[in-house]
Amino acid sequence: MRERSKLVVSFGDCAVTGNVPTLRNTLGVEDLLTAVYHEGPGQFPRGDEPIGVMPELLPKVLPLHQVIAVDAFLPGCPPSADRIWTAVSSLLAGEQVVLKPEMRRFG
Amino acid sequence: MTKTITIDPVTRIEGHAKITILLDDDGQVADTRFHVVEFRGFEKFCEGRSFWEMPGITARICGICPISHLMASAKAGDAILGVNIPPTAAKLRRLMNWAQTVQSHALSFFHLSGPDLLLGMDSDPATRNVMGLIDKYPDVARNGIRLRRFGQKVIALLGGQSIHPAWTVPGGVRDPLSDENRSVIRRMLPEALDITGLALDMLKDALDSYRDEEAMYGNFPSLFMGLVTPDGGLEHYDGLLRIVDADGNVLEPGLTPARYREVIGEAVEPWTYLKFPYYKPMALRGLTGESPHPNWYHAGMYRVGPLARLNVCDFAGTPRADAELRVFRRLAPRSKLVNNSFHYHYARLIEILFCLERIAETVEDPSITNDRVRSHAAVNNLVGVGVSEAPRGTLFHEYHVNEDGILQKVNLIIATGNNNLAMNRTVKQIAQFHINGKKLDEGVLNRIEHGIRLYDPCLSCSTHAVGHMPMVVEMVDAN
Repeated sequence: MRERSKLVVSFGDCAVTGNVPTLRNTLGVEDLLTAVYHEGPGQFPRGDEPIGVMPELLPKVLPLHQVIAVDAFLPGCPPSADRIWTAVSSLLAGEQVVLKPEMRRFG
Repeated sequence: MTKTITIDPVTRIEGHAKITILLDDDGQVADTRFHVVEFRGFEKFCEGRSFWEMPGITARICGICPISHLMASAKAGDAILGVNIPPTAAKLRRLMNWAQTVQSHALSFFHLSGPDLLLGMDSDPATRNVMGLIDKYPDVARNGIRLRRFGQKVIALLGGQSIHPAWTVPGGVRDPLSDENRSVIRRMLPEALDITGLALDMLKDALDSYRDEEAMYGNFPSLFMGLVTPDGGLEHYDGLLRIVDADGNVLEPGLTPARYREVIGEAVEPWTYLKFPYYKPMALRGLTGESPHPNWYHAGMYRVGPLARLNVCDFAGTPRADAELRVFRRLAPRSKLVNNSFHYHYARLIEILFCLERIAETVEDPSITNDRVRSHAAVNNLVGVGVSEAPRGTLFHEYHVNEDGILQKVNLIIATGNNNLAMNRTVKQIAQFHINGKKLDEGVLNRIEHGIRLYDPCLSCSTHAVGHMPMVVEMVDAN
Protein backbone atom coordinates (compact mmCIF):
# COMPACT_ATOMS: atom_id res chain seq x y z
CA MET A 1 0.00 0.00 0.00
CA ARG A 2 2.86 2.33 0.86
CA GLU A 3 4.58 1.69 -2.45
CA ARG A 4 1.43 2.48 -4.40
CA SER A 5 0.49 5.63 -2.48
CA LYS A 6 1.83 9.16 -2.67
CA LEU A 7 0.49 9.96 0.77
CA VAL A 8 -0.52 7.73 3.67
CA VAL A 9 -2.45 9.23 6.58
CA SER A 10 -2.65 7.42 9.89
CA PHE A 11 -6.38 7.96 10.38
CA GLY A 12 -7.93 7.63 13.84
CA ASP A 13 -6.71 6.41 17.21
CA CYS A 14 -6.50 2.74 16.17
CA ALA A 15 -4.08 3.63 13.37
CA VAL A 16 -2.14 6.14 15.48
CA THR A 17 -1.77 4.13 18.71
CA GLY A 18 -3.37 0.72 18.16
CA ASN A 19 -6.07 1.68 20.70
CA VAL A 20 -8.70 -0.92 21.70
CA PRO A 21 -7.53 -3.72 19.32
CA THR A 22 -4.14 -3.76 21.11
CA LEU A 23 -5.90 -5.02 24.23
CA ARG A 24 -5.35 -8.48 22.74
CA ASN A 25 -1.56 -8.06 22.64
CA THR A 26 -1.02 -9.59 26.06
CA LEU A 27 -2.65 -12.81 24.84
CA GLY A 28 -1.23 -15.31 22.37
CA VAL A 29 -3.09 -15.78 19.08
CA GLU A 30 -3.69 -19.49 19.83
CA ASP A 31 -5.10 -18.76 23.28
CA LEU A 32 -7.32 -16.05 21.87
CA LEU A 33 -8.81 -18.20 19.11
CA THR A 34 -9.21 -21.18 21.43
CA ALA A 35 -11.02 -19.05 24.01
CA VAL A 36 -13.46 -17.62 21.48
CA TYR A 37 -14.19 -20.74 19.41
CA HIS A 38 -13.51 -23.83 21.55
CA GLU A 39 -17.08 -24.30 22.77
CA GLY A 40 -18.17 -25.14 19.23
CA PRO A 41 -19.90 -27.24 17.99
CA GLY A 42 -17.69 -27.48 14.90
CA GLN A 43 -14.04 -27.29 13.92
CA PHE A 44 -12.64 -23.89 14.74
CA PRO A 45 -10.87 -21.61 12.24
CA ARG A 46 -7.28 -22.90 12.47
CA GLY A 47 -5.22 -25.23 10.31
CA ASP A 48 -4.47 -25.45 6.60
CA GLU A 49 -7.92 -24.81 5.21
CA PRO A 50 -8.67 -21.53 6.99
CA ILE A 51 -5.14 -20.31 6.38
CA GLY A 52 -5.73 -20.96 2.69
CA VAL A 53 -8.77 -18.69 2.50
CA MET A 54 -8.22 -16.28 5.37
CA PRO A 55 -5.31 -14.10 6.41
CA GLU A 56 -3.52 -15.40 9.48
CA LEU A 57 -3.68 -13.25 12.57
CA LEU A 58 -0.44 -11.40 13.33
CA PRO A 59 1.03 -11.98 16.80
CA LYS A 60 0.48 -8.34 17.81
CA VAL A 61 -1.64 -5.38 16.78
CA LEU A 62 0.69 -2.49 15.89
CA PRO A 63 0.18 1.21 15.19
CA LEU A 64 0.50 1.95 11.47
CA HIS A 65 3.73 3.98 11.71
CA GLN A 66 5.53 1.00 13.25
CA VAL A 67 4.94 -0.90 10.02
CA ILE A 68 5.21 1.74 7.28
CA ALA A 69 6.18 5.41 7.11
CA VAL A 70 3.17 7.72 7.32
CA ASP A 71 2.86 11.33 6.14
CA ALA A 72 0.35 12.63 8.67
CA PHE A 73 -1.37 11.62 11.90
CA LEU A 74 -5.06 12.25 12.49
CA PRO A 75 -5.99 11.27 16.06
CA GLY A 76 -9.55 10.88 17.38
CA CYS A 77 -12.07 8.09 17.84
CA PRO A 78 -13.28 9.03 15.33
CA PRO A 79 -11.41 12.13 14.06
CA SER A 80 -13.95 14.98 13.94
CA ALA A 81 -15.10 16.48 10.65
CA ASP A 82 -13.04 19.61 11.46
CA ARG A 83 -9.87 17.58 11.80
CA ILE A 84 -10.50 15.74 8.54
CA TRP A 85 -11.22 19.06 6.79
CA THR A 86 -8.03 20.61 8.14
CA ALA A 87 -5.94 17.64 7.03
CA VAL A 88 -7.45 17.34 3.56
CA SER A 89 -7.19 21.10 2.95
CA SER A 90 -3.51 21.11 3.91
CA LEU A 91 -2.71 18.06 1.80
CA LEU A 92 -4.50 19.50 -1.24
CA ALA A 93 -2.50 22.72 -0.83
CA GLY A 94 0.66 20.63 -0.71
CA GLU A 95 1.36 21.69 2.86
CA GLN A 96 2.30 19.71 5.93
CA VAL A 97 -0.67 18.81 8.15
CA VAL A 98 -0.47 20.87 11.34
CA LEU A 99 -3.33 20.33 13.77
CA LYS A 100 -4.16 22.90 16.43
CA PRO A 101 -3.43 21.66 19.97
CA GLU A 102 -7.13 21.02 20.70
CA MET A 103 -7.30 18.81 17.59
CA ARG A 104 -4.50 16.56 18.81
CA ARG A 105 -6.44 14.88 21.61
CA PHE A 106 -7.19 11.15 21.55
CA GLY A 107 -10.67 9.72 22.05
CA MET B 1 -10.13 -26.90 -14.98
CA THR B 2 -9.70 -24.38 -12.25
CA LYS B 3 -11.02 -20.93 -12.88
CA THR B 4 -10.27 -18.18 -10.43
CA ILE B 5 -11.90 -14.80 -10.64
CA THR B 6 -11.06 -12.22 -8.04
CA ILE B 7 -12.71 -8.91 -7.33
CA ASP B 8 -10.60 -6.83 -5.05
CA PRO B 9 -11.84 -4.70 -3.51
CA VAL B 10 -15.57 -5.13 -3.55
CA THR B 11 -17.20 -2.25 -1.79
CA ARG B 12 -20.31 -1.04 -0.02
CA ILE B 13 -20.50 -3.34 2.96
CA GLU B 14 -18.80 -2.80 6.32
CA GLY B 15 -15.91 -5.14 7.05
CA HIS B 16 -13.74 -7.70 5.24
CA ALA B 17 -15.21 -10.63 3.36
CA LYS B 18 -14.62 -13.05 0.58
CA ILE B 19 -16.88 -15.37 -1.39
CA THR B 20 -15.85 -18.66 -2.99
CA ILE B 21 -18.05 -20.37 -5.54
CA LEU B 22 -17.52 -24.09 -6.12
CA LEU B 23 -18.40 -25.27 -9.63
CA ASP B 24 -18.95 -28.89 -10.65
CA ASP B 25 -17.62 -30.40 -13.89
CA ASP B 26 -20.53 -29.04 -15.90
CA GLY B 27 -19.92 -25.51 -14.72
CA GLN B 28 -22.92 -25.60 -12.40
CA VAL B 29 -22.71 -24.03 -8.98
CA ALA B 30 -22.12 -26.83 -6.46
CA ASP B 31 -21.65 -24.76 -3.36
CA THR B 32 -20.73 -21.28 -2.21
CA ARG B 33 -19.06 -19.95 0.90
CA PHE B 34 -19.18 -16.53 2.42
CA HIS B 35 -15.95 -16.08 4.37
CA VAL B 36 -15.53 -13.40 6.99
CA VAL B 37 -11.80 -12.94 7.31
CA GLU B 38 -11.30 -10.63 10.25
CA PHE B 39 -11.07 -11.21 13.97
CA ARG B 40 -10.23 -9.17 17.07
CA GLY B 41 -11.19 -11.19 20.14
CA PHE B 42 -13.22 -8.78 22.29
CA GLU B 43 -14.84 -11.65 24.19
CA LYS B 44 -11.46 -12.76 25.50
CA PHE B 45 -9.49 -9.54 25.97
CA CYS B 46 -12.28 -7.87 27.96
CA GLU B 47 -11.88 -10.48 30.70
CA GLY B 48 -10.25 -8.92 33.74
CA ARG B 49 -11.62 -5.44 33.02
CA SER B 50 -14.46 -3.72 34.87
CA PHE B 51 -18.00 -3.97 33.47
CA TRP B 52 -18.22 -0.17 33.88
CA GLU B 53 -15.75 0.17 30.99
CA MET B 54 -17.71 -2.07 28.65
CA PRO B 55 -19.95 0.53 26.95
CA GLY B 56 -16.85 2.52 25.99
CA ILE B 57 -14.85 -0.50 24.86
CA THR B 58 -17.55 -2.42 23.00
CA ALA B 59 -18.73 0.74 21.19
CA ARG B 60 -15.33 0.55 19.43
CA ILE B 61 -16.42 -2.73 17.88
CA CYS B 62 -18.07 -0.58 15.23
CA GLY B 63 -18.14 3.01 13.98
CA ILE B 64 -21.44 2.50 12.11
CA CYS B 65 -23.60 1.30 14.97
CA PRO B 66 -21.67 2.07 18.18
CA ILE B 67 -25.00 3.09 19.72
CA SER B 68 -26.27 -0.48 19.53
CA HIS B 69 -23.32 -1.71 21.56
CA LEU B 70 -23.69 1.18 23.99
CA MET B 71 -27.33 0.15 24.53
CA ALA B 72 -26.77 -3.60 24.96
CA SER B 73 -23.71 -3.04 27.12
CA ALA B 74 -25.40 -0.50 29.39
CA LYS B 75 -28.42 -2.81 29.71
CA ALA B 76 -26.18 -5.73 30.72
CA GLY B 77 -24.69 -3.29 33.27
CA ASP B 78 -28.18 -2.36 34.55
CA ALA B 79 -28.78 -6.07 35.15
CA ILE B 80 -25.51 -6.45 37.08
CA LEU B 81 -26.44 -3.46 39.26
CA GLY B 82 -29.95 -4.90 39.65
CA VAL B 83 -31.60 -1.51 39.10
CA ASN B 84 -34.56 -0.15 37.22
CA ILE B 85 -33.23 2.91 35.43
CA PRO B 86 -35.25 6.15 35.77
CA PRO B 87 -38.14 6.27 33.23
CA THR B 88 -36.70 9.37 31.56
CA ALA B 89 -33.35 7.62 31.08
CA ALA B 90 -35.11 4.71 29.35
CA LYS B 91 -36.97 7.14 27.07
CA LEU B 92 -33.75 8.97 26.24
CA ARG B 93 -31.96 5.73 25.42
CA ARG B 94 -34.85 4.79 23.16
CA LEU B 95 -34.61 8.17 21.47
CA MET B 96 -30.95 7.64 20.71
CA ASN B 97 -31.54 4.07 19.56
CA TRP B 98 -34.24 5.14 17.09
CA ALA B 99 -31.98 7.93 15.81
CA GLN B 100 -29.25 5.35 15.31
CA THR B 101 -31.58 3.11 13.30
CA VAL B 102 -32.56 6.06 11.10
CA GLN B 103 -28.96 7.01 10.29
CA SER B 104 -27.77 3.44 9.74
CA HIS B 105 -30.74 2.46 7.54
CA ALA B 106 -30.34 5.69 5.53
CA LEU B 107 -26.68 4.81 4.98
CA SER B 108 -27.59 1.30 3.82
CA PHE B 109 -30.40 2.34 1.49
CA PHE B 110 -29.05 5.51 -0.08
CA HIS B 111 -25.27 5.16 0.07
CA LEU B 112 -24.53 1.42 0.00
CA SER B 113 -27.40 -0.14 -1.97
CA GLY B 114 -28.70 3.00 -3.72
CA PRO B 115 -26.08 2.80 -6.51
CA ASP B 116 -27.24 -0.76 -7.39
CA LEU B 117 -30.92 0.12 -7.20
CA LEU B 118 -30.83 3.44 -9.05
CA LEU B 119 -27.85 3.20 -11.40
CA GLY B 120 -28.38 -0.51 -12.11
CA MET B 121 -26.68 -3.69 -10.92
CA ASP B 122 -24.90 -4.01 -14.26
CA SER B 123 -23.95 -0.34 -14.68
CA ASP B 124 -20.35 0.83 -15.00
CA PRO B 125 -18.55 -0.17 -11.79
CA ALA B 126 -16.40 2.97 -11.99
CA THR B 127 -19.43 5.15 -11.25
CA ARG B 128 -21.62 2.60 -9.44
CA ASN B 129 -21.04 4.26 -6.10
CA VAL B 130 -22.23 7.20 -4.06
CA MET B 131 -20.30 9.66 -6.24
CA GLY B 132 -22.05 8.30 -9.34
CA LEU B 133 -25.32 8.67 -7.50
CA ILE B 134 -24.57 12.32 -6.68
CA ASP B 135 -23.79 12.90 -10.33
CA LYS B 136 -26.93 11.34 -11.77
CA TYR B 137 -29.52 11.71 -9.00
CA PRO B 138 -28.28 14.66 -6.93
CA ASP B 139 -31.61 15.13 -5.15
CA VAL B 140 -31.81 11.52 -4.02
CA ALA B 141 -28.18 11.52 -2.89
CA ARG B 142 -28.68 14.79 -1.00
CA ASN B 143 -31.81 13.40 0.66
CA GLY B 144 -29.87 10.34 1.81
CA ILE B 145 -27.18 12.53 3.30
CA ARG B 146 -29.77 14.77 4.99
CA LEU B 147 -31.65 11.83 6.48
CA ARG B 148 -28.48 10.25 7.81
CA ARG B 149 -27.48 13.62 9.20
CA PHE B 150 -30.79 13.82 11.09
CA GLY B 151 -30.00 10.60 12.95
CA GLN B 152 -26.39 11.56 13.63
CA LYS B 153 -27.45 15.00 14.83
CA VAL B 154 -30.01 13.62 17.32
CA ILE B 155 -27.32 11.29 18.68
CA ALA B 156 -24.91 14.22 19.03
CA LEU B 157 -27.54 16.40 20.73
CA LEU B 158 -28.11 13.69 23.33
CA GLY B 159 -24.63 12.31 23.79
CA GLY B 160 -22.28 15.12 22.84
CA GLN B 161 -20.90 13.45 19.71
CA SER B 162 -22.42 11.33 16.95
CA ILE B 163 -19.94 8.42 17.05
CA HIS B 164 -18.91 6.76 20.34
CA PRO B 165 -20.68 9.19 22.71
CA ALA B 166 -19.74 8.35 26.32
CA TRP B 167 -23.35 8.81 27.39
CA THR B 168 -25.12 5.52 28.13
CA VAL B 169 -23.84 4.01 31.38
CA PRO B 170 -24.93 1.13 33.61
CA GLY B 171 -27.86 2.67 35.54
CA GLY B 172 -29.01 5.15 32.89
CA VAL B 173 -27.46 7.99 30.93
CA ARG B 174 -25.02 10.75 31.87
CA ASP B 175 -26.86 13.86 30.74
CA PRO B 176 -30.53 14.82 30.39
CA LEU B 177 -32.03 16.42 27.28
CA SER B 178 -32.20 20.22 27.40
CA ASP B 179 -35.27 22.17 26.29
CA GLU B 180 -33.18 23.82 23.63
CA ASN B 181 -31.96 20.55 22.11
CA ARG B 182 -35.45 19.13 22.25
CA SER B 183 -36.60 22.06 20.07
CA VAL B 184 -33.79 21.39 17.61
CA ILE B 185 -34.95 17.78 17.19
CA ARG B 186 -38.55 18.96 16.76
CA ARG B 187 -37.52 21.38 14.00
CA MET B 188 -35.55 18.75 12.06
CA LEU B 189 -38.33 16.13 12.02
CA PRO B 190 -40.56 17.36 9.13
CA GLU B 191 -37.76 17.20 6.56
CA ALA B 192 -36.72 13.70 7.70
CA LEU B 193 -40.32 12.47 7.44
CA ASP B 194 -40.70 13.99 3.95
CA ILE B 195 -37.51 12.33 2.70
CA THR B 196 -38.62 8.95 4.04
CA GLY B 197 -42.01 9.27 2.35
CA LEU B 198 -40.31 10.08 -0.97
CA ALA B 199 -37.93 7.14 -0.63
CA LEU B 200 -40.79 4.74 0.09
CA ASP B 201 -42.70 5.96 -2.98
CA MET B 202 -39.57 5.65 -5.10
CA LEU B 203 -38.92 2.07 -3.99
CA LYS B 204 -42.54 0.96 -4.39
CA ASP B 205 -42.65 2.45 -7.90
CA ALA B 206 -39.50 0.53 -8.82
CA LEU B 207 -40.54 -2.86 -7.42
CA ASP B 208 -41.99 -4.05 -10.73
CA SER B 209 -38.59 -3.79 -12.36
CA TYR B 210 -37.05 -6.02 -9.67
CA ARG B 211 -39.15 -9.19 -10.11
CA ASP B 212 -36.09 -11.43 -10.72
CA GLU B 213 -34.33 -10.06 -7.68
CA GLU B 214 -37.46 -10.46 -5.59
CA ALA B 215 -37.75 -14.11 -6.69
CA MET B 216 -34.10 -15.14 -6.48
CA TYR B 217 -32.21 -12.94 -4.01
CA GLY B 218 -32.65 -14.74 -0.74
CA ASN B 219 -36.15 -16.06 -1.37
CA PHE B 220 -36.50 -19.13 0.85
CA PRO B 221 -38.32 -20.15 4.01
CA SER B 222 -36.51 -19.60 7.31
CA LEU B 223 -37.26 -18.73 10.88
CA PHE B 224 -37.31 -15.07 11.92
CA MET B 225 -36.25 -13.58 15.24
CA GLY B 226 -36.71 -10.16 16.80
CA LEU B 227 -37.81 -8.28 19.88
CA VAL B 228 -41.48 -7.33 20.30
CA THR B 229 -43.26 -5.22 22.90
CA PRO B 230 -45.20 -7.20 25.55
CA ASP B 231 -48.34 -6.76 23.43
CA GLY B 232 -46.61 -7.81 20.20
CA GLY B 233 -45.65 -4.45 18.64
CA LEU B 234 -42.46 -3.50 16.79
CA GLU B 235 -39.63 -2.95 19.27
CA HIS B 236 -35.95 -1.91 19.09
CA TYR B 237 -34.71 -1.28 22.62
CA ASP B 238 -36.27 -3.73 25.06
CA GLY B 239 -39.14 -6.22 25.14
CA LEU B 240 -39.41 -9.95 24.54
CA LEU B 241 -37.70 -12.29 22.11
CA ARG B 242 -40.05 -13.75 19.52
CA ILE B 243 -39.27 -16.47 16.95
CA VAL B 244 -41.68 -17.41 14.16
CA ASP B 245 -41.43 -19.79 11.19
CA ALA B 246 -41.83 -18.99 7.50
CA ASP B 247 -45.60 -19.54 7.62
CA GLY B 248 -46.03 -17.27 10.58
CA ASN B 249 -46.38 -20.00 13.21
CA VAL B 250 -45.08 -18.68 16.52
CA LEU B 251 -42.36 -20.91 17.99
CA GLU B 252 -41.30 -18.58 20.82
CA PRO B 253 -44.05 -16.06 21.58
CA GLY B 254 -42.16 -13.96 24.12
CA LEU B 255 -39.01 -15.32 25.70
CA THR B 256 -37.27 -13.21 28.34
CA PRO B 257 -34.15 -12.13 26.41
CA ALA B 258 -31.82 -13.12 29.27
CA ARG B 259 -32.77 -16.75 28.54
CA TYR B 260 -31.49 -16.57 24.93
CA ARG B 261 -28.95 -19.37 25.44
CA GLU B 262 -31.77 -21.86 25.96
CA VAL B 263 -32.81 -21.42 22.33
CA ILE B 264 -29.75 -20.08 20.48
CA GLY B 265 -26.62 -22.15 19.82
CA GLU B 266 -23.48 -21.00 17.95
CA ALA B 267 -21.77 -23.40 15.53
CA VAL B 268 -18.23 -22.90 14.23
CA GLU B 269 -16.81 -23.63 10.76
CA PRO B 270 -13.11 -23.75 9.88
CA TRP B 271 -13.41 -21.45 6.85
CA THR B 272 -14.74 -18.28 8.47
CA TYR B 273 -14.24 -16.28 11.65
CA LEU B 274 -17.97 -15.60 11.83
CA LYS B 275 -19.89 -18.06 13.98
CA PHE B 276 -23.22 -19.58 12.89
CA PRO B 277 -25.98 -19.01 15.42
CA TYR B 278 -28.95 -21.37 15.08
CA TYR B 279 -32.31 -22.01 16.76
CA LYS B 280 -31.61 -25.03 18.94
CA PRO B 281 -35.00 -26.81 19.07
CA MET B 282 -35.18 -26.97 15.25
CA ALA B 283 -31.50 -27.75 14.69
CA LEU B 284 -31.39 -30.57 17.20
CA ARG B 285 -33.94 -32.50 15.13
CA GLY B 286 -31.16 -32.89 12.55
CA LEU B 287 -28.87 -34.50 15.14
CA THR B 288 -30.58 -37.90 15.10
CA GLY B 289 -28.82 -41.12 14.03
CA GLU B 290 -25.21 -42.18 14.45
CA SER B 291 -23.58 -39.93 11.89
CA PRO B 292 -25.47 -36.67 11.65
CA HIS B 293 -25.08 -34.57 8.52
CA PRO B 294 -22.27 -31.97 8.87
CA ASN B 295 -24.82 -29.26 8.20
CA TRP B 296 -27.27 -30.52 10.83
CA TYR B 297 -27.60 -27.07 12.43
CA HIS B 298 -28.77 -25.45 9.16
CA ALA B 299 -32.32 -26.53 10.07
CA GLY B 300 -32.12 -23.89 12.79
CA MET B 301 -31.46 -21.05 10.30
CA TYR B 302 -33.18 -17.80 11.16
CA ARG B 303 -33.04 -14.23 9.90
CA VAL B 304 -32.89 -11.03 11.95
CA GLY B 305 -32.99 -7.32 11.10
CA PRO B 306 -35.63 -5.11 9.48
CA LEU B 307 -37.36 -7.89 7.49
CA ALA B 308 -37.43 -10.21 10.50
CA ARG B 309 -38.69 -7.49 12.86
CA LEU B 310 -41.57 -6.67 10.52
CA ASN B 311 -42.34 -10.39 10.25
CA VAL B 312 -42.34 -11.19 13.97
CA CYS B 313 -44.40 -8.22 15.19
CA ASP B 314 -48.20 -8.18 15.16
CA PHE B 315 -48.26 -4.46 14.36
CA ALA B 316 -45.84 -1.52 14.24
CA GLY B 317 -47.55 0.83 16.67
CA THR B 318 -47.39 4.20 14.86
CA PRO B 319 -50.00 5.36 12.30
CA ARG B 320 -47.93 5.81 9.15
CA ALA B 321 -45.68 2.79 9.74
CA ASP B 322 -48.75 0.61 10.38
CA ALA B 323 -50.33 1.76 7.12
CA GLU B 324 -47.10 0.91 5.26
CA LEU B 325 -46.81 -2.42 7.06
CA ARG B 326 -50.25 -3.44 5.79
CA VAL B 327 -49.14 -2.73 2.21
CA PHE B 328 -45.83 -4.53 2.80
CA ARG B 329 -47.56 -7.68 4.03
CA ARG B 330 -49.50 -7.97 0.77
CA LEU B 331 -46.16 -8.90 -0.85
CA ALA B 332 -46.67 -12.38 0.58
CA PRO B 333 -49.85 -13.69 -1.07
CA ARG B 334 -49.51 -17.38 -0.26
CA SER B 335 -47.46 -17.64 2.89
CA LYS B 336 -48.17 -15.32 5.74
CA LEU B 337 -44.68 -13.83 5.92
CA VAL B 338 -42.45 -12.00 3.47
CA ASN B 339 -39.67 -14.53 2.83
CA ASN B 340 -37.72 -12.56 0.20
CA SER B 341 -34.54 -10.99 1.50
CA PHE B 342 -34.71 -8.48 -1.35
CA HIS B 343 -37.41 -6.81 0.72
CA TYR B 344 -34.93 -5.95 3.46
CA HIS B 345 -34.66 -2.64 1.56
CA TYR B 346 -38.39 -2.00 1.79
CA ALA B 347 -38.51 -3.10 5.44
CA ARG B 348 -35.63 -0.73 6.24
CA LEU B 349 -37.59 2.26 4.91
CA ILE B 350 -40.70 1.33 6.90
CA GLU B 351 -38.54 1.10 10.00
CA ILE B 352 -37.10 4.56 9.36
CA LEU B 353 -40.65 5.88 9.21
CA PHE B 354 -41.53 4.08 12.44
CA CYS B 355 -38.45 5.44 14.25
CA LEU B 356 -39.17 9.01 13.11
CA GLU B 357 -42.79 8.76 14.28
CA ARG B 358 -41.63 7.40 17.64
CA ILE B 359 -39.05 10.19 17.99
CA ALA B 360 -41.74 12.77 17.17
CA GLU B 361 -44.01 11.30 19.82
CA THR B 362 -41.31 10.98 22.47
CA VAL B 363 -39.93 14.53 22.22
CA GLU B 364 -43.45 15.75 23.08
CA ASP B 365 -43.48 13.69 26.29
CA PRO B 366 -43.47 16.25 29.14
CA SER B 367 -41.11 14.06 31.22
CA ILE B 368 -38.45 13.82 28.50
CA THR B 369 -36.45 16.76 29.89
CA ASN B 370 -36.44 15.52 33.51
CA ASP B 371 -32.97 15.56 34.98
CA ARG B 372 -33.22 12.31 36.96
CA VAL B 373 -31.54 10.03 34.48
CA ARG B 374 -29.26 7.71 36.42
CA SER B 375 -29.72 5.05 39.12
CA HIS B 376 -26.73 4.40 41.36
CA ALA B 377 -25.89 1.00 42.80
CA ALA B 378 -23.03 -1.44 43.28
CA VAL B 379 -22.76 -5.00 41.96
CA ASN B 380 -25.89 -6.92 42.95
CA ASN B 381 -25.92 -9.69 40.33
CA LEU B 382 -22.96 -11.65 39.00
CA VAL B 383 -24.48 -12.15 35.56
CA GLY B 384 -26.01 -9.49 33.32
CA VAL B 385 -27.54 -9.93 29.87
CA GLY B 386 -28.34 -6.91 27.70
CA VAL B 387 -30.34 -7.40 24.50
CA SER B 388 -31.44 -4.76 22.01
CA GLU B 389 -32.23 -4.50 18.33
CA ALA B 390 -29.33 -3.07 16.36
CA PRO B 391 -30.21 -1.78 12.88
CA ARG B 392 -29.02 -5.14 11.51
CA GLY B 393 -30.80 -7.34 14.06
CA THR B 394 -30.83 -8.68 17.58
CA LEU B 395 -27.71 -7.95 19.62
CA PHE B 396 -26.73 -9.88 22.77
CA HIS B 397 -24.17 -8.86 25.40
CA GLU B 398 -23.70 -11.29 28.30
CA TYR B 399 -21.29 -10.47 31.13
CA HIS B 400 -20.20 -12.60 34.09
CA VAL B 401 -18.47 -10.60 36.86
CA ASN B 402 -17.05 -11.21 40.32
CA GLU B 403 -18.13 -9.31 43.46
CA ASP B 404 -15.91 -6.39 42.43
CA GLY B 405 -17.45 -6.13 38.99
CA ILE B 406 -14.42 -7.58 37.21
CA LEU B 407 -15.39 -9.51 34.08
CA GLN B 408 -14.84 -13.27 34.25
CA LYS B 409 -16.56 -14.20 30.99
CA VAL B 410 -18.07 -12.31 28.07
CA ASN B 411 -20.32 -13.58 25.28
CA LEU B 412 -21.46 -11.39 22.41
CA ILE B 413 -23.82 -12.41 19.61
CA ILE B 414 -23.87 -9.65 17.07
CA ALA B 415 -26.74 -8.85 14.75
CA THR B 416 -24.95 -9.76 11.52
CA GLY B 417 -23.80 -13.09 12.95
CA ASN B 418 -27.43 -14.16 13.36
CA ASN B 419 -27.83 -13.81 9.60
CA ASN B 420 -24.74 -15.85 8.72
CA LEU B 421 -26.60 -18.99 7.59
CA ALA B 422 -29.10 -16.91 5.62
CA MET B 423 -26.35 -14.83 3.95
CA ASN B 424 -24.58 -18.02 2.83
CA ARG B 425 -27.86 -19.40 1.51
CA THR B 426 -28.58 -16.15 -0.35
CA VAL B 427 -25.18 -16.08 -2.03
CA LYS B 428 -25.71 -19.65 -3.23
CA GLN B 429 -29.19 -18.92 -4.57
CA ILE B 430 -28.05 -15.87 -6.54
CA ALA B 431 -24.95 -17.66 -7.85
CA GLN B 432 -27.03 -20.60 -9.05
CA PHE B 433 -29.54 -18.31 -10.72
CA HIS B 434 -27.01 -16.19 -12.58
CA ILE B 435 -23.98 -18.40 -13.19
CA ASN B 436 -25.34 -21.80 -14.31
CA GLY B 437 -24.68 -22.10 -18.02
CA LYS B 438 -24.22 -18.38 -18.46
CA LYS B 439 -21.32 -16.09 -19.12
CA LEU B 440 -19.79 -14.68 -15.99
CA ASP B 441 -19.30 -10.92 -16.02
CA GLU B 442 -18.72 -8.16 -13.51
CA GLY B 443 -22.44 -7.43 -13.25
CA VAL B 444 -23.13 -10.98 -12.09
CA LEU B 445 -20.48 -10.70 -9.38
CA ASN B 446 -22.00 -7.42 -8.28
CA ARG B 447 -25.39 -9.12 -8.05
CA ILE B 448 -23.89 -11.77 -5.79
CA GLU B 449 -22.46 -9.02 -3.61
CA HIS B 450 -25.83 -7.32 -3.58
CA GLY B 451 -27.16 -10.50 -1.95
CA ILE B 452 -24.84 -9.72 0.94
CA ARG B 453 -25.68 -6.00 0.91
CA LEU B 454 -29.37 -6.85 1.45
CA TYR B 455 -28.48 -7.81 5.00
CA ASP B 456 -26.44 -4.61 5.43
CA PRO B 457 -23.88 -6.74 7.27
CA CYS B 458 -21.41 -5.22 9.62
CA LEU B 459 -18.60 -7.72 9.48
CA SER B 460 -16.33 -5.76 11.78
CA CYS B 461 -19.08 -5.99 14.36
CA SER B 462 -19.95 -9.58 13.81
CA THR B 463 -16.48 -10.96 14.36
CA HIS B 464 -15.72 -8.09 16.71
CA ALA B 465 -12.87 -7.52 14.26
CA VAL B 466 -11.25 -4.46 12.78
CA GLY B 467 -10.88 -3.04 9.32
CA HIS B 468 -12.45 -1.84 6.10
CA MET B 469 -14.00 -3.63 3.27
CA PRO B 470 -12.23 -5.40 0.44
CA MET B 471 -14.50 -8.32 -0.42
CA VAL B 472 -12.92 -10.80 -2.82
CA VAL B 473 -14.94 -13.09 -5.04
CA GLU B 474 -12.93 -16.00 -6.39
CA MET B 475 -13.98 -19.08 -8.28
CA VAL B 476 -12.46 -22.53 -8.01
CA ASP B 477 -13.72 -25.83 -9.43
CA ALA B 478 -15.16 -28.64 -7.34
CA ASN B 479 -11.72 -30.23 -6.84
